[in-house]
Amino acid sequence: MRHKPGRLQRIAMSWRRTGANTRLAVGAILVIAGWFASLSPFRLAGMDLPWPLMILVAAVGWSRAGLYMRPVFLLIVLSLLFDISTSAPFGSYMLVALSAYGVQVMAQSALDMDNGAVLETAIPFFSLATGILALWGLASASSGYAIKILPIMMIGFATALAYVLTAPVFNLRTRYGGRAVGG
Amino acid sequence: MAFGRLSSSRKSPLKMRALGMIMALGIAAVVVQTAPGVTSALMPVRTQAGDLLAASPGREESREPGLLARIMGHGARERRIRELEARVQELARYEAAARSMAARLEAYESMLSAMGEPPARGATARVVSEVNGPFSETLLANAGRAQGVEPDAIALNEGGVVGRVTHLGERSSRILLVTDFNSRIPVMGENSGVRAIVFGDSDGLGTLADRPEEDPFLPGERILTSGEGGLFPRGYMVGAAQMREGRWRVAFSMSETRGGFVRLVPPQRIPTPEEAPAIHQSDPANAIPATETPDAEAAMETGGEG
Repeated sequence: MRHKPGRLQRIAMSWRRTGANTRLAVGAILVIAGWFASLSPFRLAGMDLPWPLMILVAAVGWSRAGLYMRPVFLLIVLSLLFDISTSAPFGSYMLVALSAYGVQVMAQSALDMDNGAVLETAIPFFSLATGILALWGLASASSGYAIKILPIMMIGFATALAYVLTAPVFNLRTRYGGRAVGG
Repeated sequence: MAFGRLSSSRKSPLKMRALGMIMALGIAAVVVQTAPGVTSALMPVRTQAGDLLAASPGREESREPGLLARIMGHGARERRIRELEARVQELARYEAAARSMAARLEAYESMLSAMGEPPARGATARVVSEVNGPFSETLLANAGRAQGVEPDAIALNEGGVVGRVTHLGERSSRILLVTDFNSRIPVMGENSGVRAIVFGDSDGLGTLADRPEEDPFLPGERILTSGEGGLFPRGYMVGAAQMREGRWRVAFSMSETRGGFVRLVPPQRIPTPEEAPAIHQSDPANAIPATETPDAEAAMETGGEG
């Protein structure tokens, strides 16, 4: 007798069947939602906690499928929201996102990802760290002094946690278990 | 599939170059923005974007809340804040005008050697009980002689004149309300200048009687104390004039705002020349220090109209 799939399983199955454009759109919505949330303070038990940098999560998540121009342009557009809301020079968050995107793509190209589960797991976090480092560098350069590392690290941890939780949403590999589409 | 036509980085190093170029352009853009001219040129863009988030563009008149506030569910609160901010701005203009007028008035009074109204004094008391019995309409306030309340003190609230202290105790005062039939207050129309005596009536409105002039009041104009009779200082708000059944009536303004507190201010007392004779300073025998002549001092303070 066949077991009837549950609701979560049905969602997972339908997600596997969705195309790359739909996944891009859903990812973009998640980034915008994260950006909206970041406009209000995040307090938990009287503590000010950092919001994750969803543009960085999207950059790393989308880059795992390889280098494609559509995610790149989407990242450029979405990064403007972050530039405006944080009063950063225009292009700052684009550089942050694309640096993480580029590192991920180059690492995947250079290393043998097929047989390395550790690499598969480690490289996205390395890419996230690159993005966070770029953020620190740009913020310091535009401020004229080295800004505090701890708040940036907190943002990095929050972003890494958000990546772990939302990575499937930003996965553009539409063939289950296969390689990236077009890759 | 969606990206099927595009090749990945392994197959096309051209894309890597494109990515590198985009990043180089990004770096150049960030560097260019360190120039003050570029920063100031981009400022309107940032401002408009901020306005879009904080307030809907082009809707300043309607005081609509911003996109963010609406999404977060703070729309009603934001709208109320905007209304109050607009009100504060409006009132600030009135305040500035009032200050300017007060300064000019002070200058004119100084030039004319005119005596102005006495400074506001008195005590604020809580209304302990309110009696609207068949005999009289009175209030009992919890401040008396011990708190500095004087006999015949004038009771005011946020709206205007409430009444007059008729019985003064050590720690309490009984106030005869303006709505009582036995209350008599000399008043005048703010714009028309017509004088009359107002007294309370059974329907809660005041009746304007004993008018020396036959001229009518202006409908809706404010009725103020005229200061005549030497008890109520001039200019306190009493109500608004209205014509009812061929008679001029007053809708008492104190009835609109009864917050449970009254301000008991000393009555206007102008001593007669016999009570406070002039003192010739040139005569050393009559040279009495000013502190020992409270009546004369009071006369100076309370001089003017009335």
